[in-house]
Amino acid sequence: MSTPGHESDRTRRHHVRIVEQEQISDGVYYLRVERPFDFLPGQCIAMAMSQISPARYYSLASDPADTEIGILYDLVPGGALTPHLSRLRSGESVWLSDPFGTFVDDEGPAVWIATGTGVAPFLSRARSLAGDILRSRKWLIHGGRTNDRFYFGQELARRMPDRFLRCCSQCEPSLLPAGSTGRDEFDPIKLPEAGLYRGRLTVWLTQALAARIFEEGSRFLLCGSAGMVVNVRDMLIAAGIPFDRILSEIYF
Amino acid sequence: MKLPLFGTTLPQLEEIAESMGLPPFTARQIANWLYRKNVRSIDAMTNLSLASRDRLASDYVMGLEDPAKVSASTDGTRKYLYRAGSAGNPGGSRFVEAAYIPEANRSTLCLSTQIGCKMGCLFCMTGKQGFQGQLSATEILNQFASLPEKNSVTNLVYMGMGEPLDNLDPVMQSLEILSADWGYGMSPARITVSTIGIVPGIQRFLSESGAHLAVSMHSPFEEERRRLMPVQHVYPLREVLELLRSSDMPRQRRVSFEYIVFGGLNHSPAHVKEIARLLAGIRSRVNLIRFHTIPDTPLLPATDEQMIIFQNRLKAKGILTTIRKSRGEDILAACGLLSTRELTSPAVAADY
Repeated sequence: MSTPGHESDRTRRHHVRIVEQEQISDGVYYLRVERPFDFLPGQCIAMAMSQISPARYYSLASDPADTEIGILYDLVPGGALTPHLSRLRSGESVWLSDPFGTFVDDEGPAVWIATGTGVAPFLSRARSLAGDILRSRKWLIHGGRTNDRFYFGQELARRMPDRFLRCCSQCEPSLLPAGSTGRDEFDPIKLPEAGLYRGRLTVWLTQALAARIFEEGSRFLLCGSAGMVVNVRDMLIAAGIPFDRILSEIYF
Repeated sequence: MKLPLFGTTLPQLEEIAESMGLPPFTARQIANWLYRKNVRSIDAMTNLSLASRDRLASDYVMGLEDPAKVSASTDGTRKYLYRAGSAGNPGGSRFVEAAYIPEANRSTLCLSTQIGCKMGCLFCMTGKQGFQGQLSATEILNQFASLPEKNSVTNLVYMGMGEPLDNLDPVMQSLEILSADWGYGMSPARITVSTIGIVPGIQRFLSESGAHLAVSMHSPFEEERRRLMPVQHVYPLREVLELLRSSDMPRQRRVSFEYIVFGGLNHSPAHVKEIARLLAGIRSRVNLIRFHTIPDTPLLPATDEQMIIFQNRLKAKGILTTIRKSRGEDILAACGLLSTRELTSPAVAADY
């Protein structure tokens, strides 16, 4: 197997067999393929339907120690890859590049912030990191419009109790307690019930920064839409976080 | 919905002519009207029969649109606002900006290629508005075709809103139309496309276009560049440089490295040394740009003195280095300041 790191050959493609593909939410899929290389959590691959067809980039979502690779992706209607990709079944195959990228976290204190499928690199990291470090030094804040946008939420909640928060910007009324105003109040000590904050990620984060709940010296790793990354980065900088402690991965 | 005729290539026009049962030579006639005679309506294509014009008009619109607004700088720069995201259907609610920059012996039009931008560079206002959509070839070229000063334009730069190589097909199509003899017939040497370094896009650009390439460097150090430009995670500068070094480029084709100088950050002797090391063997120049402060940024502009010292140090290393004159700063048309954020409402509710 090739060794992980950035010195990869992105032009080389591995022909890998699909183990399983599952639609885990409306327009969102999780693909498992056999693993032909080693990688670091946070790295990406280029994926294509053939050796010469256009590739698209995805973060790896699985534990590097697993025998399979997991890739979480959005189906893009009319896209060059995902409409075809989503129709593939077990036994069929795709082409992957060597892993690449430097959006790699260390074992120091960190706040992971994601929207949508941007949770993928953090999922990989959470699966690979020792439990004590994960539960004491890492936070994961995942933003989504509705409650079906928090992929692998139960697994993450199990791995990171009290450190994994879903921020649901347009939660369904049925999720709100009786008499609720529609938005949760911020509590610096205790996460909302079931780790679900009914409100915007940016609102919760602003209050969390003001209440200084994150460990001193934490790095902030952002992954998701360009809009989220830019907005949250601006917010962090305005809150006094040095910009060299903010790492951003934008999906494009 | 009718499709736009403007912004189509000759092969596309040949397909259109064939599908409509028009004579094959009609395609060249239409191209000539669109790109040499600059007509604004299908009716004006008077060497096409009335029946041919009617046939075309039944399925196509011109696709041209006048600027919605213009701002004039005290230095002569003009910033134009164009509707976008509504190809062939005027009245859309999204906009892009283009900057016309006249000088004594040249006049440059700076074109946009996307509505907003996905790349999230720390120093750019366009990135702050996020990404709202791609421009079609029609909309890219419309910024040129509908410019009141069109006949004065000597140079085109793809340095406006958006990352051109993240919108590759329309950008390549627009370049083809600009330089083809059936199109505008413009020399590729008068066109520059700027990129933050999308490697697959650069590969295609170098193989299909003769236009010049500008690459945003802003730091020669990977870690530092990563903080300024998230793209560094995916396409590190090193890979871009490897590609350029291995590409077979003719002598007249230059690569310029754009370098915004931030006060106290990226203009030290160590930066000079590393830039010289990285650019060894690549026929290029470095274009230093003043940082134009944007809201909520931790970055500072360098002083004039700092910029000149940096320039001199790079020149002493044998690197051709220029300082770009800032233009249109008072109307927010200078580098990194273009934005239509206030005019653009998000298409879907944010998930953050």
